[in-house]
This record gives sequence, structure tokens and C-alpha cells, in this order.
Amino acid sequence: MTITRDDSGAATVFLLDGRLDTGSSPQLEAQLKEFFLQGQFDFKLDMQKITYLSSAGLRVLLGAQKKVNATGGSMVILGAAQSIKEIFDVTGFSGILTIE
Amino acid sequence: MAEFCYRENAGNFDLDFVNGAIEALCQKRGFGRQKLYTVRLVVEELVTNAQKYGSRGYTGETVEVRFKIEKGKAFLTIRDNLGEFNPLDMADPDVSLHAGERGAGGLGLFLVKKRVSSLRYEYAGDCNIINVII
Repeated sequence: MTITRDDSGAATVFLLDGRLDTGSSPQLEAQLKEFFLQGQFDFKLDMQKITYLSSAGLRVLLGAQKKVNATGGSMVILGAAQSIKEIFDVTGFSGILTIE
Repeated sequence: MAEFCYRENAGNFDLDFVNGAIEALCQKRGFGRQKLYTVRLVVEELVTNAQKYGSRGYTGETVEVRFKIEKGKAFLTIRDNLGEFNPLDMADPDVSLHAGERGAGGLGLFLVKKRVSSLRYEYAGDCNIINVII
């Protein structure tokens, strides 16, 4: 998976490309941790190019959601494919995350 | 019938290699994207669960994945000697809870249960054996 950070707009956007799985989720976790350490808690995750999501990826998203909830920030999921939305639905994450 | 078998020391198990090989087989046999997604998910979730909960760090701990396609169905067997662990004993997560109340455990197996036709566990010959039909 590749992660591209885009700070050009009002909110930072992380563009994810590939599979968010056991192998790649620590990469996203590290990027978000660094972002939070900068005192920033408003961002978007563009998941349009994510083709696969496992529980390892869900755990990172849950941790990030908890962090933004605790700090009054916001995390918005953009462009998730139907197969990814099905994973969000079955695990109840559709009710936890902000998905556009 | 298309078949694949891979056995490796638990610490060196190459998940990407296994999934790549299985994915190639599935594509040859014309499996749809959804089924392919499920196969990949089952391998990842069950192998990582075994490594996470079963391993005692001994040498000689191995994980084996056998995969075959027959009459349009995928049959997966995951066998390990990492110490007795029945993943089906794990409680399902409460998916109605909000983020603050949610724990991170149990999500992988829950996803697997929701997407497969059959999931069976047995402990035999000092091995955990999980048989899955997709």
C-alpha cells in the first residue's frame, strides 16, 4: 500500500492505494500517529484505491476514530468501494466512522 | 482440480506469497472478485490468529495452508502445531457498540464467519486444524 499525504486543502487528506492488511496497516498507523503528534486531529482518508481491507486495517481505523473523538477532531472516509463498505457494514463500522 | 500447499515455520510464514499463489489459482478458475476477497481474508485472519494466540515461540512451530478448488467451491485447510487454540471459542464482537466501547479483538474471525459457507475446527495429532469451504 502507498500513502500520500496532501496538505493543500482545508483538511489534510491521506490517499491510500492498495491493500490495507496485516502487512500494511502498521504503515498507516505510524503515519497517523505522527500526524496526531503534530497536534492535528482533522483529516480525511481517501480509500478510493483501497482494494482490500482486513481486521488489521479496521483496528487502525478504530484507534484513529477513538483518538479524534477524544480530541474533538474529525476523520472522514472518502470513496470506499462497495466491497470495503460491505466490511464496514458487517462489522458495525458504518455506525462508528464518518463515511462519505 | 487446482491445488496448492504451503508449509513454513510460523515465524517465516509468507502471507503475501501464499495469497498471491492462491489468488492466481482462483483467477485461472474464474473466481469472482467477492469470492477471491473472501479467500484472501480467510487466509490472513486465520493464519495471523494462529500466530498471535497459539505461538509459544518454540522452534519447529509450523503453519500449513492447503487450498483446492473443486466444482466451483474453494476448500481451505489451515493446520498448525502452535499450541491448542480453537478460534471458534472466541466471542463475537458486539457490532452495535459505539467507538469508545469497542474493543479491537475478534473482528477478524467474525468477518470470516460471516463470509464462508462452512467453518470447522478440530484438534488432532497435536495440531489445530481448521477446514473452511468458500
